[in-house]
Amino acid sequence: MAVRILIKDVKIPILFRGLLNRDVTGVKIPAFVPAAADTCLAAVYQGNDGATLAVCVCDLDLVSYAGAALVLVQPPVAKEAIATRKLDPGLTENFQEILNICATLLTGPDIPHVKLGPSYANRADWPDEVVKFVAPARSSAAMKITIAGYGAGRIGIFT
Amino acid sequence: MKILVVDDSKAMRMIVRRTLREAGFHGIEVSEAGNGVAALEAMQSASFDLILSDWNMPEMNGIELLGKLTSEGRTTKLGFVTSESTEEMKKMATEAGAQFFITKPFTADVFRTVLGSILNN
Repeated sequence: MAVRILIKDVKIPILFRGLLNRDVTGVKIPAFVPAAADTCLAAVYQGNDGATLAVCVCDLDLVSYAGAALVLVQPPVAKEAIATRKLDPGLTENFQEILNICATLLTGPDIPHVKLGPSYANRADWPDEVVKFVAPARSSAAMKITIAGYGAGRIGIFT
Repeated sequence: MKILVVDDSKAMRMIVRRTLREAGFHGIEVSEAGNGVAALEAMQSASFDLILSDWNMPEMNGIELLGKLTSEGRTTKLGFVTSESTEEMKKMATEAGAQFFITKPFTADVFRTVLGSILNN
């Protein structure tokens, strides 16, 4: 039987803090299931056999602020990207590294190896499996993450 | 002291540079490469004391790079800085001659501890 991964949400802001090298706080929120019109980035995590074990969804604000903070791009650049309501390719590429390292949140004694699989910047491209994962019943962690000097955004992890 | 940081993520290469500074390793010349092939190209025109390499990269991954260096008889020290860290990978890295295995996310303290003996020698 497949083991469902459970996330210790307290680890999420710690991971961001370590990567961004600045103060990051996290507050638990209800399951983060973005509305159809919301701009967000969804990342799939897979086991060794390629099976989907988790999906992480981050809103535009988190992708933009964290993607900027990671490489010390000034906050106004992130705010500009957010104002367009579209994911900026450069900030999104930076954020991919954070998603890559988020795989460490998903490993445990019963799940020794989880790696980042495909990610989807456009919700219309979500495969059926991702759509099924991103549901309140599968929410394992959901937080509003505030990055000092930049701003706040939401992350939801579904397992 | 010259270090080559090999990672397909530009952001991560920048973080490694930053962490080296935070760990107190000043006066180090850091170069970058986006994968194993680019690392080998960089090594044709410069010599490095240490290579910090990601594991998963396009074209040539980290363990392939280490294998290539060994087969060419190069003695440049190489250690992994990677987000994937199974026991199997660590064993493979050690057997291939890797100096260390740092898991992302890392801290300046980890760099100081792991790299200290290598960079201060």
